[in-house]
Amino acid sequence: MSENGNLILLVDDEEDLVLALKARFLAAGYEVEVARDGLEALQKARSVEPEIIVLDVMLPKMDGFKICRLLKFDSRYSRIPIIMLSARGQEIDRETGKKAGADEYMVKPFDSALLLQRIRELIRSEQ
Amino acid sequence: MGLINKKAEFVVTKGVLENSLVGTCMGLLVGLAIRGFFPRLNEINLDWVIFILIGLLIGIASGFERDRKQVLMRRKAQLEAEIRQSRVSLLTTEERYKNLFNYANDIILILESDGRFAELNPKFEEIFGYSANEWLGRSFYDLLTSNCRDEAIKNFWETLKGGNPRFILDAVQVRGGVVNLSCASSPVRDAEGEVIGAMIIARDISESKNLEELQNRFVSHASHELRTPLTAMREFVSLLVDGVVGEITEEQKQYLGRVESNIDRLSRIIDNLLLMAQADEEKITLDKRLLDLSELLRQVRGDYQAAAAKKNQELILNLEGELPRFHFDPDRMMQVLINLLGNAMKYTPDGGKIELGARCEKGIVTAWVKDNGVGIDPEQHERIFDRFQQIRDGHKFGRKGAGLGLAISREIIRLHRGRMWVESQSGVGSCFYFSIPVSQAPKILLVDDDPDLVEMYKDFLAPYHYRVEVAYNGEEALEKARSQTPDLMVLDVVMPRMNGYEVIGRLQESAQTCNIPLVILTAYGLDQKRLNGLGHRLIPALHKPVSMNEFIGAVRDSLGENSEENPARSAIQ
Repeated sequence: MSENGNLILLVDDEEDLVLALKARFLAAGYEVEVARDGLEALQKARSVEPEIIVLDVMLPKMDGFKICRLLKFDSRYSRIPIIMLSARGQEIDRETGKKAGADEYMVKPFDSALLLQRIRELIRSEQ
Repeated sequence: MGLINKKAEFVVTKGVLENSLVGTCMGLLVGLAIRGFFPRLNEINLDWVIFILIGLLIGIASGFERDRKQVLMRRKAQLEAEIRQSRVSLLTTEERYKNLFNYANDIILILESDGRFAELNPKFEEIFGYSANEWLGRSFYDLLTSNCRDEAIKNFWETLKGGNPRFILDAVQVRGGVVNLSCASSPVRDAEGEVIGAMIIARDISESKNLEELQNRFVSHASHELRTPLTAMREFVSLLVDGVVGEITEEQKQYLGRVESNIDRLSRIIDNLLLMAQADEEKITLDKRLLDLSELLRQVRGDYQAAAAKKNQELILNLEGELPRFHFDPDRMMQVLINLLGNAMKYTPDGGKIELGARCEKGIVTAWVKDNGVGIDPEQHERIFDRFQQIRDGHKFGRKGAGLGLAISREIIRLHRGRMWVESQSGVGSCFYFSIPVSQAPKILLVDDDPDLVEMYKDFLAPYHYRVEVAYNGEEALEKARSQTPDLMVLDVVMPRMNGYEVIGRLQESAQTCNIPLVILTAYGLDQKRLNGLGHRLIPALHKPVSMNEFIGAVRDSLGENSEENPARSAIQ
């Protein structure tokens, strides 16, 4: 993995979850950039060019679905895999996530081992 | 009650005799008196007998008269009493009706036969904010939201025909708010018994409906809010357990494990609450795929083998024959199996035996989870499927659940068009079953005016598990073609009143029936031109008398079934 080949952009407004996930990702050997609202997420996705984005659905300023759509329909960023996290478990949300172009959709509370596994797989498939 | 009995005057009744006796005595006295006062009358040589006779005559005559008067007086008194009585009861009835109408806590609407308001009670004004007077004479339908007018018309007509329908309508208040009304309607009749209108008693159920919605919204909102902190908690715990932030002792790890399993338990309860709320709003969607249920059973058994072994429970898999693949939601089905198996393990003592099983019969897959545990009293067999219910003394068997598992499992099975039930005996064990129809056998509509032939065709079809409907004339055939949606019709051409050609023509008129394949039966030649002209999907006609092989062959051809196959298996396709 190259020096910047393991950067995760973590987008969530839930401070505790950010802290826990960040620790988990760092422990697994990833670099982590954090964004706490929709606009920051969009800016950072464009400026730091992460390997993967872990994106919460319910965010201040702009929701996760919209961010996902904006990135996935922009050819410069569409290659970046996106894993959406949501507290909502309804099938409708899953559908919306898929339609927005998310590569993976996980419902909170999720299994962090599974999340790490999917991150690994998605980054590998990109390279 | 004839006021005067004309014949009574000359009938010798007891009253007449009594009165006559009195009269006669009086007559005799009069006779004696006359004789005493006019002693000279003796000189006219009248005998005593005459005086006595006069006395008798006067007596009898007065007897009749007095009796008649007495009878009349009695009758009069009786009638007067009756009139008083009925006036009182009339007043009470009217009073009662008025009270009912004015103070009822439900809206009472009296409608003319054309649907206009004839009477409206004060509750109407209270609920809607309109004045009753401004609505008298206006149409009932104007009060309703446009989407429920058809429902209102349908039920109003049913009432006019003498029915007592119950239905739910939405009506609009003066301020534009919508009121949900639960209505019970009954016909209003005139003195001759003719229906001249309808009385609708309507209850405002908006509040309970809103409350229900609010409750579901609350549950679904609360469970979303609860999940987020749980996710963070779980993350921190698993960071500690995994030693990401430094080594921990075995004991610390054990305790953290407890925290983790409690987080899981809490999140399962939240999931179930959310699912139940979704079920009420009919928002559960199934992600159905064509799969093999026995695979799922094997997987569950594999997953729980270790847990069962810990309790020395024997966990066996009993698949009675092969199961057909069918469409189901694997995640939800897994949830059902885990729930049933979890219950079985919980309520079965150590060393017990638990069986997971399944079979397929006549296109219905039945699966079960059977144990030899504590069992359930028969009177609890239905109750345990209710929400928030636990079996009696359930707490003795370890951790209490929320009591939602079986309710949700049954709901999931119901959504798969199946049903779930339990057979159990206290102290012997329980067996929870669920069955799901995996395929519907094709439905065949037989149309022939000869009942004997219909019976014969039914016999032909009997070994094939088809669903068979019959019609004995053209009208009935059309009606059943619409109501029963058969997959195939077997149609006789020559029938009284409406012949086969006409039936085909009419089938063509409706999108619902124009594509039903037909096997045509005829004793004579067919008017092929006329048939072609009808444009229906044509099946080679069969000539009567038809042999069984011909008949079955044509049926299966037109259903697109492979005729090589073993008849017994054809039902499950």
